[in-house]
Amino acid sequence: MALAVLISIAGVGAAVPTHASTTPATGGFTPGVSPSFLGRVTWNNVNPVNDTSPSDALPIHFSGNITIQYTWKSVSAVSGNQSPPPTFTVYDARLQIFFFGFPLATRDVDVSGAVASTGGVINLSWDPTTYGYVLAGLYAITTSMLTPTGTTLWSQTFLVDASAPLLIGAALPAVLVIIVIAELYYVATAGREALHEPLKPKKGPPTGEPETTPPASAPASPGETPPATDGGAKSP
Amino acid sequence: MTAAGRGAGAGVVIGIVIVLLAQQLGLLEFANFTVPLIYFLLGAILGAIVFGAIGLVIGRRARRKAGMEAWQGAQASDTASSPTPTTPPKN
Repeated sequence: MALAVLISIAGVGAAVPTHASTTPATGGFTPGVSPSFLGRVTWNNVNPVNDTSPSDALPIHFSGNITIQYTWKSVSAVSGNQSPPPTFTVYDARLQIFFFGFPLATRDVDVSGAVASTGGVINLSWDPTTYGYVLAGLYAITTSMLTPTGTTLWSQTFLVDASAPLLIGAALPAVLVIIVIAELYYVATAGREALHEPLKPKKGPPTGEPETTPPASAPASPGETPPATDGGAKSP
Repeated sequence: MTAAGRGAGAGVVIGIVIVLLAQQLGLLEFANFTVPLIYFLLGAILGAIVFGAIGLVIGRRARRKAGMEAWQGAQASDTASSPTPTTPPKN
């Protein structure tokens, strides 16, 4: 049974769709809180702007270094307007992983001496190897750029699919598989427990079930047919 | 605890763990708080029903088998004193 569980889990894991998004790093800017502020983030040179559903999640490994690049620029609010684009002060580039609605991890890059400008690039380097020992699976990642006062100028949420080595190589999925196997064994041995259950007294005529009429007391004399010969569970 | 109760209790755990395992295998995403709770609730209920039924069946089969073996043991001791064959119970 444990083997069957492992095989089925491996089959489910193999059925996970592969990532089809090949959005190039160029372009892909999305507006922020202000329509004049356009931002973009790349995860190891891949733009995850379309990775918002579990089937399109960006496949990653929680091993090695990850480079997240934040790029922003300002444009004139009205197209065709010849006025110069507004300036923004981006002080903080933030990365958050959400799990059960709570941030599992937060990384920030503060821009020292940030001044108002019409564009910029911020690089955030992150080594999530420690998470790779414990976790795998789908996680929502929110990247955002903030002002010195903490106001969000731009944010983008996308999904990543962190795969564990050999599907269950991280600690949490391995422990979960062990728990499932242990509980299945617990259910499989329920029959032993049932032998110690007290029998319920039955009303009416005897039904002839073996457990209600212990066969050890049935044959009183040699050659006598036991009372359970009518099929066991038939009521008159 | 009855076999059905034992199966239902294990089914609750299995249902919740399977949902969490599905997230770890990349089949479900738990970005917010309420949707996973619904998944966990459904997993626990379905697990309790399914494994409760499995425990019930396993328990009945075990008791029937034990009754059969006890009856055969009694028959064996009886036939030692009498060569007359008897009909075994149809289980």
